[in-house]
Amino acid sequence: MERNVPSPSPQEALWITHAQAGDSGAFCELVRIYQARVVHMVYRMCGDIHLAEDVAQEAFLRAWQKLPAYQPKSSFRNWIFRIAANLAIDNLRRENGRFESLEEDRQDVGQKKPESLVAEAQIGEQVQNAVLALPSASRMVLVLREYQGLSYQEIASILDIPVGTVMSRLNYARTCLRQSLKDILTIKEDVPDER
Amino acid sequence: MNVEHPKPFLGAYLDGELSASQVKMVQDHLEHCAACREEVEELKRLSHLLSLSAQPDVVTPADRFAAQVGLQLSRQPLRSVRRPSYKWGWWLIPAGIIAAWVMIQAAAIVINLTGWLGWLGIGGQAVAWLSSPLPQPDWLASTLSLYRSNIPVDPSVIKTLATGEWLGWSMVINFVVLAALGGIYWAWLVLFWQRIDRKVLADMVHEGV
Repeated sequence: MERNVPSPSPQEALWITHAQAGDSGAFCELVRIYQARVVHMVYRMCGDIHLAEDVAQEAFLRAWQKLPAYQPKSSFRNWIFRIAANLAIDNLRRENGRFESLEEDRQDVGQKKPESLVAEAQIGEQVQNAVLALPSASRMVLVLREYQGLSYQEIASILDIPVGTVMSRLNYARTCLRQSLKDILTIKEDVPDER
Repeated sequence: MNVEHPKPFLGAYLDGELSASQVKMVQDHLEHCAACREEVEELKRLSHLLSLSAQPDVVTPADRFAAQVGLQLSRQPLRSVRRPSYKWGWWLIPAGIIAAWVMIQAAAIVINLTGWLGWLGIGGQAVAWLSSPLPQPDWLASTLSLYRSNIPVDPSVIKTLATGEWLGWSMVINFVVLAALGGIYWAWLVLFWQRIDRKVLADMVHEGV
């Protein structure tokens, strides 16, 4: 997972400049680049892919309105993440801080999957539910760290909180997950060293 | 960091967020503490588990998503955020300076004109009244008397200034005020160039703003 803030490519920097000048076509190119990551981040927060797309779309529209105030020296990715994160948290607050997954069962009826894939899918669903059960503040930090690979400094910048708070919320989230997933975690297997 | 059991820092250790000295302390501790080693392994398994929760396929393809956003963008024109340098209030400063300069110059012209008219004997008592010498303020007289002997200028100039004749006195006022206005203008100009985005300025020039 990436650790450092990726510097925008020259093409992306050009699109940002044109978008700030009012070129909606250039902005759409930026949307195309960041759509998947923003949607996935919001999905990890709310558990519903359709809602995640709606929130992501709203985030990009807000970004368009705020684009004149964007400073090119800061990361565009982190900037759009900040907007999307705030929207996702606002959405969760409207849902009283908890959103139950409404994702439809994607398994085709009558098509049998190998047991290993079914087991893995069940584990994945259990993990996702455990993540959704976290408090929104800790969940957001966990999502940005584990699923987006952002550094503590980047997370602090996006959420406008101190780095120490990022660390404490992450510790809390991991402690909660270890408790709720302890039956799976106790199964020791070879874990690929990704760090 | 609590070297005895740095459990709150084990997550940051795995994330590569600790300083070199902190990493060394944690590594030294892990060599002797089986409990913390087990915790590190559990954190690794947790991270691996989190990666198992699959990313769902995005429902809307990127091109179509961008097109949908683009459609809504057309209904929401980009709201131009006027940088502080371009707010209309910002431009009142140089406009005010110019207006003050114009007013002072107009007053000086009127004073000079009435003086000449009075000197030529045109206009009667009204012009004579307008061109009468301004009373010399006490501070100017005392300052001039204090430095009279040391000022390396023609005594007639000193006499002119000391008597407070309208010509010398108005020149003094005019100079002081213009110097102050000039100073304010240059200060504004320095601030303006510090805040303005050169590229945006080029765009403004190009667009004829």
